[in-house]
Amino acid sequence: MGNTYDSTTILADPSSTVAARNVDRLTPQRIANGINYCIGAGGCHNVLSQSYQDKVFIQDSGFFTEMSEWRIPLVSDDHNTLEVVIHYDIQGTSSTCKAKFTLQVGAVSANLEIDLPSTAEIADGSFSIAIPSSDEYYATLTMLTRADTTTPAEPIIKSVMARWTRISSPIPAGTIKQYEASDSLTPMGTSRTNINEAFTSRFAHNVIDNVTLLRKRLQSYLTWSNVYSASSSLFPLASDAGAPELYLSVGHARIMGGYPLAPTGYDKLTHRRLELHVRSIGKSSGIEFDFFGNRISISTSAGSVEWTIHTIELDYGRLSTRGDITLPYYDASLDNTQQNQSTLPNYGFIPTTRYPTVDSNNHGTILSLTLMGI
Amino acid sequence: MLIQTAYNLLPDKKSCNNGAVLYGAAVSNMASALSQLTHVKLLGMCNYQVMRSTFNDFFTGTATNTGVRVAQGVGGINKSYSESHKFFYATTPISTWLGVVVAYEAGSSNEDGTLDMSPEIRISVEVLSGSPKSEVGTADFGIRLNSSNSLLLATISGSQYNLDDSRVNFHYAESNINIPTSAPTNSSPVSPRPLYIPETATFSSTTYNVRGTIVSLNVSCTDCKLRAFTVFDLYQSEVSA
Repeated sequence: MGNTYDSTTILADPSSTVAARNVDRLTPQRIANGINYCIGAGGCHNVLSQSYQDKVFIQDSGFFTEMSEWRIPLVSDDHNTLEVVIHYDIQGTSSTCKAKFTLQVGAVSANLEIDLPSTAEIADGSFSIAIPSSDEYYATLTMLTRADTTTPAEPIIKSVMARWTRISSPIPAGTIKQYEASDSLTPMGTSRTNINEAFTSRFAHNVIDNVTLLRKRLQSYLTWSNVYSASSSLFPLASDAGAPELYLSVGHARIMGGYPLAPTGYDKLTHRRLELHVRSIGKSSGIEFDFFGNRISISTSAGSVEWTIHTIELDYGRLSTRGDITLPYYDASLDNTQQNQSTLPNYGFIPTTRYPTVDSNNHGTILSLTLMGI
Repeated sequence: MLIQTAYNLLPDKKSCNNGAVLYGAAVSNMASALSQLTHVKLLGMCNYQVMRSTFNDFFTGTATNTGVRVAQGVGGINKSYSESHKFFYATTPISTWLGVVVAYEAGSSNEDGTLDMSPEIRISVEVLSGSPKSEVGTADFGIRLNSSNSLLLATISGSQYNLDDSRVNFHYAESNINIPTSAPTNSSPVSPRPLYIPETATFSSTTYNVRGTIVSLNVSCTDCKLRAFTVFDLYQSEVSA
């Protein structure tokens, strides 16, 4: 049976092991199954989700043109296949429009090209990356698109998602690194737990270590990237197409956010819990903006386009009243503060330079945000 | 069994060493911690921001068509305006009921104030299969949110198109989180309830896996514009398995 799991038998009833009852093999057997399920399937839902309307994500170049860039969390070293699904439209008729993704983890990168034929509206693909042995917990994903200039035809992206593919049952033998070299998950053999010699000291230690590590597993709560280099020859007027959001702005207040989960005991966890990854264009005097009650300060050099990482402390006053209110989700969003109104692009401060061109007119602007946490 | 939501304190590992007398409470504690992982922490979720045009009449004379969202509202909503979306969601192997939160913008009248609006949002669950993926059928015909059950109307002043003092232009609406006692059987959208992810679905004599796959959540809007779309696997405090 190896390190198998079955999603229908992952619950071990805690009440079956209370005082005066024997710990029969069914309980450890289900614990082993549940551990394997968490290792293989936990955190394999969307790590990237973004959508577009009004033909903002459109491209007329016959060469791959970089359009967006996101940060996404990793799951573990063995979750090394990223699956991408796109909803799109083609203005015109063509079979040669394409999308391309570049995935970077540490110093390692991988590419995926996906055909966008005008005969379909959904495209998907997957690609693998050899996650380096160094400590890594996030990847950087860049998206490019290419038009057909002969027909001509232009791709219009309407939504994009990505997820790490689950490790199917059985989990391979051996330990699995999750983020740090010292963090090794140990899949559990279910052959042994299927007979009455299941419970050993080693078993218990492995369960405790695995649960502790799995609590560190990250997920995406918000992924937003601007769309740059949007261009259309078929829709030359900006009122028709190609006018995307280039910079995080005052109009994003309150709506640009996600719902991180922070149950009781969250504060006692000492590892990485909630982070905001920000891609910005540096400014000599620095950048400061408010997100979820946190003042985010960025001090990169003027004109430098970089990702920075910021630890986010919970704003306990922002318990969400939306969504599944039976769980403690928080409403983590861009704040509507005086700081943001004065520093983010607004009615009185419209950067006249369009990224990816960088000059003093767009220094201090925010290009992408990812909120990731446990 | 009951599913605890908290990150509980785990047993002292020394209590599980060889030679130690192990009580059931330690095992019970491990089982609870694990159920919290599978049925709380590792529940699925996706959160889509819907990017919309930043074109602005006011700035068309400049070198930029803004690229900036200067107001919270987008505006430009006329009577009978409609749009559709596909949001792909990677369900987990235990996803069953989904809660939905939508941020939307709806006008109470046309921009010239002449027509009444009747905003409506419909959401269904479509099964994807094949390579490349395509929709093969509807797993849940879903729900319909409108002014009678959940959608609010708002003035569209202060929009990206037409600036003035008002800067609050979107609202949130949601499917409720009360899980029905049985799988839905409706063949057209009904009043808000959680969306259902069946284990499998059969179309034209072919059975497809649904739970654990990527599904398309199809959203159609009339008289309103979608701004954000969030889906949660719903927590169930008591699970029998």
